[in-house]
Amino acid sequence: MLSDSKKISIRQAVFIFLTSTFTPTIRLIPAYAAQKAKQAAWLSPLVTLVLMILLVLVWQAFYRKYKDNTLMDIYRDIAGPVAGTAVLVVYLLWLVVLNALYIRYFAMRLVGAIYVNTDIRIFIISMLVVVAYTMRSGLPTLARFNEVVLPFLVLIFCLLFIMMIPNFRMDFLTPISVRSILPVIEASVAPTGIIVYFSFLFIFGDRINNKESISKIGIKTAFFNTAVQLSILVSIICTFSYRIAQRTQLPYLTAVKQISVFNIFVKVESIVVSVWVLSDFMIICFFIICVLSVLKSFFRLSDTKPLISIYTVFLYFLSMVMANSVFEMERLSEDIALFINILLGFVIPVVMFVIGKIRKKV
Amino acid sequence: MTMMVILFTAVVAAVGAIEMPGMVKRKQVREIAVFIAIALLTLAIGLYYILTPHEKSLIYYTYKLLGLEL
Repeated sequence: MLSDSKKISIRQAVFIFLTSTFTPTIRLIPAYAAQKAKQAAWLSPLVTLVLMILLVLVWQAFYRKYKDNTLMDIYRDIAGPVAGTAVLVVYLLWLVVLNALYIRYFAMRLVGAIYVNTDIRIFIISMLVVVAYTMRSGLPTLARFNEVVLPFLVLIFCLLFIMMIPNFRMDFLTPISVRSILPVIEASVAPTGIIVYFSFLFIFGDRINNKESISKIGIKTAFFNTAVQLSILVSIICTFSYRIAQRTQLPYLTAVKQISVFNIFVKVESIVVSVWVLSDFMIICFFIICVLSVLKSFFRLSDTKPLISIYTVFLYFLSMVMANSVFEMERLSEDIALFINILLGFVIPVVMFVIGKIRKKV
Repeated sequence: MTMMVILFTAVVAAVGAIEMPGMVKRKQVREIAVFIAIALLTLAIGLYYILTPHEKSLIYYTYKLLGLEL
């Protein structure tokens, strides 16, 4: 069993989840939801809220039985070693893909938003050097750093939202009728595909303390996350309607560019980009921890620190060969990634829970 | 291109040189095996990236494999 100094609390774990989901939330949800549900897109996080609460309760039920185990131990125990390992291989491969994808997204966004015509390799290498250095300090250090980052991120986000209010046109949020229900459910694929990262937290579940509070903290997180997603969607749709939101590459950044407080406080998009970089840093670290934890479980490793540097070199090349353009990455995210996320982060845990109930293991 | 290959191989070798002694000292046989496996994968993917700079992306091949339109 790990000593408490090497563990983080469930609150810190959930904070890592919240910071990590900020970057895909503002990149992916607005355009996707606006395409699917048009002016009703802002309602899609409400569907996700229900699913997230369900997911939180499933994980709480798992951890009533499996006190100090990881997601891998739970799956192997419930599904058996062969089926469990087969599922976990899929998890490992997908986590590596996501890891490389987020590194590439980070660099592409910086080049697209601010540093036009700059070589993306500069950003990728800089980020990976910082990540490799930080990761050597371990999960508790990262969690403590994130405790500083998240309040800062939330404060910036709230300030930006308030400053966007003068540009709002509330009529862009309507009309909504019964016929909006199906499009809203379709649009909720994007927020759901992101909140399911909550399940990935338990890949390093053995390093999380006080898991008896999963439901208490998890449900609060679900509501907080829904409020964030709702306000992002509302701020974008209210600023320039769903028509522009669905066609713009980075609608949130474009909405922030409209901010002008008495013509004095302008060009605040650089704040968003800096906050975005912090969130990218956290999500890249988060997936590296997940991948190394799965490797640790597979090969019964005692220590994964020596693997960090070689894995980051591997990630650099994987992110470089992954895509040739932002267009390809967006297509991957919207057509494939969201659905695989939901499968691995929501469907499989629920199926495992049902099997566990039948086999009387949960 | 040759310079890039040399530089890349040197980076992988340097990472190995930094990490290996500690693992050997602690007799972490499994860790060494996993490290070598990741290093070989890195060499393979790195050489592919350097030697075929204008090749199609992994996403392109994934879509082709799944029979989807990109």
